[in-house]
Amino acid sequence: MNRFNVTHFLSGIFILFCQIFLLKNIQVVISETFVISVFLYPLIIIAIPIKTPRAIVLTVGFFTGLLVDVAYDSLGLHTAALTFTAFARGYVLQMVEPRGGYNTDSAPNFSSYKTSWYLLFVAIMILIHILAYFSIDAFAFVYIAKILVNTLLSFGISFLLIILYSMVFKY
Amino acid sequence: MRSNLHILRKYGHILLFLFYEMIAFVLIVNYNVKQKEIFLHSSSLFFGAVSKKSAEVGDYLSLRQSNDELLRENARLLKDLIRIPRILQEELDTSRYPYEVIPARVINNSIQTTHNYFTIDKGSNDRVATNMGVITSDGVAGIVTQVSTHYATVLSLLHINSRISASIKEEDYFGTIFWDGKAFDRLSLKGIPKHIKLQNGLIVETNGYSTIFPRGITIGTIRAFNISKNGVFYDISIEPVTDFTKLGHVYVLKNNFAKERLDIESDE
Repeated sequence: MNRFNVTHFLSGIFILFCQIFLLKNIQVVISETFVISVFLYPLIIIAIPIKTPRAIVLTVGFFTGLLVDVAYDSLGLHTAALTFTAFARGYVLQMVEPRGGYNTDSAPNFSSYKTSWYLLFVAIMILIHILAYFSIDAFAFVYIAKILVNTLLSFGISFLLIILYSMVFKY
Repeated sequence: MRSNLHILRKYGHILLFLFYEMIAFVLIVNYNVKQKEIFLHSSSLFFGAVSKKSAEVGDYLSLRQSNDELLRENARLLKDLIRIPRILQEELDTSRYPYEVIPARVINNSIQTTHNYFTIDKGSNDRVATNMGVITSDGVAGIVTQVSTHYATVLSLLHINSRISASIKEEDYFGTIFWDGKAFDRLSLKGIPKHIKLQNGLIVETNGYSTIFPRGITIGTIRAFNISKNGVFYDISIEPVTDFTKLGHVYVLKNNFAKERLDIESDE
């Protein structure tokens, strides 16, 4: 159990490094309003073991977001978005709960659950996170069109990357 | 206690979530230029709307007071209306009563200085002219000094140069009302001879010795009196009935016979 947590911690650190030092540089600016960003770090929240207390998930989300924000020089934006994603995680899990419930010690990944379930769960979580991020970034719902377009653009590539990462690292 | 803990366990994560989001929000607004601008803009919109609404509510709440005032005035007018036919029969017919009334609203007012004026929203277009008397539903307020097409300024009773001829109700002895520039709830009346019996609470009103005010418009009530230094007249302190701190609706008195009377008086 303890080793389990250490693995998660180290994986999280690695994901953060990837996000901050690699993916930060491949932000594609299409025009003044439309931007494609690649989000890998939501995987940290996605991959937390199922039965982790919600308070811990929230705290992990908050501080992970804070670190990303420090790197991106956008204090508060990723923090707010990832905290929200962490908050939503419990409800999403309830929503997509497979027949027979969750295995207490497992974390969401390809090996513990059916591929279709995992894809669905990841898609919902990333969509929530990216939507939250661009909403908070726009900071006013009058930009709803911009929010939606940016969300869809970034969703595709982020989803692919996270699935790829999960497959490669068996995480 | 157990149930409190239960609630905390069940909903604590929501509180924690709100707490984290609050921190994030404060960070966003403080460290991001774009979001800060949006936040400041929308909060100013919000508070602007709120203060406008509260002003509207304030207006609405004071409706009751305005209503009361209007009701009182209605009652007074009704009383006069009942009395008028009798007065007309006894004393004068309509063509001989020289005053007509022009209603107006006070749109600016001062009581802070020793030279106080207020502004009304009627001017020469509404046949307001200089040297017309201005009264409220309570009593005398001032005299028109300057007139433009839509506005007029009125020399308030609370102006150290204001002079109004006045008498004590039911007496014919007359004196002059003026203001010493000190308290806005005290006027002075001088020139009432000392052999009259006075008492506090007597009403002082205009006596019709000028073309500005007709006879019988209330100015105030006696609050204190003593014999002046030269020993012939009273020094009388009067509390004006008009509340100069909240002038709202006023009436300008237009004397249609003013010119005729001034002409004949200046011929003497």
